[in-house]
Amino acid sequence: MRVVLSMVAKDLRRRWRAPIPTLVLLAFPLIFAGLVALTFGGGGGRPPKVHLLIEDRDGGLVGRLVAAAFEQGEAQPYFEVERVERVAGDGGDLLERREAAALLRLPAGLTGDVLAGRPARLELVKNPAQSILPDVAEQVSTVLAEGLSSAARLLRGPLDQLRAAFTPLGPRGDDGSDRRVAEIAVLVNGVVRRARPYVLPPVVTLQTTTLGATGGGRQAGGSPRGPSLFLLFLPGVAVYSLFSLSDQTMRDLLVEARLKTLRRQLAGPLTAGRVLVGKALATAAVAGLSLVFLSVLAALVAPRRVDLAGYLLLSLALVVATTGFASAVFAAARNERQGATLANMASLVMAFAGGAFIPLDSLPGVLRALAPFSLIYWATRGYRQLVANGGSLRAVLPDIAILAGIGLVLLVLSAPLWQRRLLRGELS
Amino acid sequence: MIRAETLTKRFGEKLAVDGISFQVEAGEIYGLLGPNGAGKTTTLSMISGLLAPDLGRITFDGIELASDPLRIKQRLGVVPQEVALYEELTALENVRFWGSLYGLSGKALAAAAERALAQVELTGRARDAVKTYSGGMKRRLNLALGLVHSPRAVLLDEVTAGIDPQARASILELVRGVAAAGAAVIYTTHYLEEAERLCDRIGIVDHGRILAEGTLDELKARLGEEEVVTLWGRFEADVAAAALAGIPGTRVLSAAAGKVALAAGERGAAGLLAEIYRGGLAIDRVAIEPPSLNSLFLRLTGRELRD
Repeated sequence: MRVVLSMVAKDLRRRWRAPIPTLVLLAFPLIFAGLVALTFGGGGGRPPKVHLLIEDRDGGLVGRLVAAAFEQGEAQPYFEVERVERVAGDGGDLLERREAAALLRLPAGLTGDVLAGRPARLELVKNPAQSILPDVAEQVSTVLAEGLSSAARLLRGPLDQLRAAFTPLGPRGDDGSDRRVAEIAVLVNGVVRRARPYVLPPVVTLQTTTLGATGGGRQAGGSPRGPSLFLLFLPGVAVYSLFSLSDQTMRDLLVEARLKTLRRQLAGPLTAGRVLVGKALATAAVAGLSLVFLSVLAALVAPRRVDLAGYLLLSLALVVATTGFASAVFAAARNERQGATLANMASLVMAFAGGAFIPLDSLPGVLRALAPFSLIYWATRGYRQLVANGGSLRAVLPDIAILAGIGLVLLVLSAPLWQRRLLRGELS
Repeated sequence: MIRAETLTKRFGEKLAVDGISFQVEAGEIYGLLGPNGAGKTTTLSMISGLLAPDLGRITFDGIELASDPLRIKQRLGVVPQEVALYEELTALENVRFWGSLYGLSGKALAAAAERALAQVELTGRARDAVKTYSGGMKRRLNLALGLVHSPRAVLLDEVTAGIDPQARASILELVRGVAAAGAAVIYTTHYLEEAERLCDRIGIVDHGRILAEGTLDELKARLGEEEVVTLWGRFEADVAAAALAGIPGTRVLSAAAGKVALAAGERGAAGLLAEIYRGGLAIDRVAIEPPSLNSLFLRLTGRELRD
């Protein structure tokens, strides 16, 4: 054991003496998450507002309710609503001129259709030049449309009564009386508020997906200031960096083969297995120390209370996963360069598919379907649960089990490959 | 102490080592002398346990290497041809690390590291990073790493390759000291002068075989007093060989276009040259070499060691 520890100490010392590659990989997640927070969230790391144009061709109660939905409650901090008159064409010119994320068209007769239970269609025109913001508007609108459908079905009784009150209003439901509209709105809002906990699950609201929280959704009644973008992006990018750091350390076995120090070690009283264990432990040590460094820094930049047991176990599982992954990739690679290329490609694919760089909800369906095959997905999911959503150990147990399990399997599978290469003299 | 018996190793179609056998005793320096690719490093790799021989066996004090490799490796010091060091670390850290691999720790490790660095005269630079060292200093440190655990047998593979004469002399002196302290030394080289100056016994190796073995005197005795005459000129190999073959008492050692080497025989170089000029061969230049390992190698293989 002393010999193995000596090998680990030697590798850590070497890394300490040539720190640039390690520092670059450690700085990457901080710089990336920091830039995202600064770019989209201003100085405070708050998410950007979605500039939404609303063309209300309905002009009735439902149309006003839909427009109001973007300006009230939890959606309010994220939307800047601008009402526009009739827009010609597809609205592309207007979107560009106003630098808006999307244009939401409320069709004529929307109020009547909803009250009568007839199908109605909202139209959303997205501005692709506005990055992910149009997607946010789309998701909110989708939820609104679903909410309206649910409300139309669930509030069938009250609506029938209300329809009578609207009859004199004409087909567009417009009597020009703000007082009557206000009365009806208060009545419906009262019903909706009472029904909300049962029929409108708050987790479906969009702000949890793209604007700052995570797929798990923020609890109703929670802080109106969602988790900062820094903490949203940091876990995924940090996990990606840890995979790269582990690759770098495990690759050192092939570097040592090139330097002939591996040959020299094997000429000493060491078995190939012991050399391999030494390098795997060094890899785990580098990943573990890097994780501590990133955690401390993140805690200083954005303090947050987390479940310590969950955090430690998830981190341990991640260290096992990164070590196993690096060991498997470099055991299969014919040489150092091939291993580095393979590891980079695999890590990048896992990071993209795992939602490390771009939130999963913004990815195409194909990538979302691939996400569970990515180790980075499970690690990122686990950290976001703990850090952004205040999740407990119980919430991240599946992530811990999957990371540790796959990591161990990869270690066990790669060990004989290394052993064979070492014994056959391929690396010496 | 170390005994290699009919060692054989094949890499695909290439027979790298072909039945090599030799024995080295404690305090003795045994030289494996041969050109690059002769099989010297492969032989050392088998003795150090890095490669398993296809045939043959290696014993250390009667214990077979294959039966207890870790125990035997513990007693061996291996110094590879390449400078295998951690350049980011200091010399002291390097020596301590390699010492720890051989089970040294605490005060014993500190003392061994200090002694090894003193042996190679690097005490003054012990705490400097190796990357700041000159080539000769790295070579000396490379040697120290193989000696830190005071091995009973040392395998040195071309340890003076590419260094200046002063550093080489220093290393040779050190190797003599190691042997004088009782270690068995196997020393591979393709430098004739080194083998002649350093080794107690020499095995001349080519194409994976030991062609001749013995002390320097024994090997030279195999040549007798024969001088080797090398001729350069404007002639074809077969024409020259045919012309020279007719001279009594002379043997053509090698013949190529424009260059021929032959053993002068009892008549000596002067008598031979008179015969050659009479034969009308167009000679531009002549070299006469007294009996040496190179001339023995030439006689045994038909080519020069330095070719």
